[in-house]
Amino acid sequence: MSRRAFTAGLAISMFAFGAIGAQSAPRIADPDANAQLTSIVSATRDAGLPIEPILSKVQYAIVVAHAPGPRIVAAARAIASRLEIARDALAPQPNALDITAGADALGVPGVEPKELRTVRAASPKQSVAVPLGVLAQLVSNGVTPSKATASVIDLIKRGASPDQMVALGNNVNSDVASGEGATKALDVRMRGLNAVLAPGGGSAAAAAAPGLSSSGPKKP
Amino acid sequence: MTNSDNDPVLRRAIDDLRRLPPLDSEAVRRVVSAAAVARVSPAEDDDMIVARPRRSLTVWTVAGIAAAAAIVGFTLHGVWTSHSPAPVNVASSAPAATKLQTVDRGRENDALPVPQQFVFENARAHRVSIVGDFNGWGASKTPMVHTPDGTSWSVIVPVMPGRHIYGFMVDDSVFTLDPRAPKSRDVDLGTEGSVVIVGRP
Repeated sequence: MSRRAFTAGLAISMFAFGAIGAQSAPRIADPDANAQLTSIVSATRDAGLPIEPILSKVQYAIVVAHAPGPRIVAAARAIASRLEIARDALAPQPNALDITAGADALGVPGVEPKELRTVRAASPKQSVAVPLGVLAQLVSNGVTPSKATASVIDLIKRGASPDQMVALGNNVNSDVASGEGATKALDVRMRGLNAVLAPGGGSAAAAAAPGLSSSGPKKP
Repeated sequence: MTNSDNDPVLRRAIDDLRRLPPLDSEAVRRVVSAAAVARVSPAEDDDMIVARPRRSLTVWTVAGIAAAAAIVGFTLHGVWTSHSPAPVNVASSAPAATKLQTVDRGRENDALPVPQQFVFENARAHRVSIVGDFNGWGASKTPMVHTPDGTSWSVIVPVMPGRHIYGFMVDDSVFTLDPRAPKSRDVDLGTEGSVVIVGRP
């Protein structure tokens, strides 16, 4: 009787644990695909890489893309590979946030591991999640990877805050949505930032400068 | 010093009263015999046997509950700690952008989520939730709230710094992009999502 009570308590806890775990481990109808996904996730976890991007991708494929099993497996395998490449490029000790951001950036056509290595070299001790996010979005908008990387590196070296970088990315988004060319938009916005960033360090005034708030793109 | 210490008569009387009478061995034997005959009944023994397991049951139950609480607690810790109160960013989708942020930099702070507000204009929808890589694309995880004027939906979500893809799930079935945010095509699946870049001052 007494042990039954203990077992019941443990069973309840395990059920709760399993239920919560199940939320982050979506299953699909294809048993073969499920087995392959389980294998990919296990291998990624064993490699010390974050598995959340893979789980998120699978869920996205189910909920939004309505993709078939083999396509989901291919997507999961691709992101697992990008996570590994990102970790190596962001060595020596990238955290999960950096690795995830690196993998996301590598998912943008044109962004290569060398861009990640360059950003990491410029910011060896700070998180590079935001710079990589801005880099990815600039390239996604049509800025060449080399120019986008150079701009982000310039901002890092001059002490721009993550919020200032976000403002740059959002404002270029806004300009491109308004019909302006991505490269020209980046040049204009960089000049705006240069005006408020000191040569050797950042300035809080940048965030408050006209056209540099991170409120995001305005609808044309 | 009391009166009894000074008065010898009184002290003798007290001593006499304190002296125990000699033991009556026969009386002792009778009391012991009676006690032996009337010793604890079987019914009372049963009660004692049951009483121990009751104590044991309580211990095991408490242990079970504690184990359950510990496991659930550790599991939920990672989920709930991400909801730490902090200033709010308004996503690029917000028609009226207001932003409050604290000034903190460094790698540790970069690992903390930043509350981000998302706003979606749709007066005809019955239900709207936000789905994105920040909530595992869980269609029912983050429902949005109808604004008082009935024209829009709003929600504040803790989002880690960086670039994120998201969209709105309308009436549990229709995935809709944020018309005010830039789009990004998923390289693996070919579908589009809205983009938000979250930072920290």
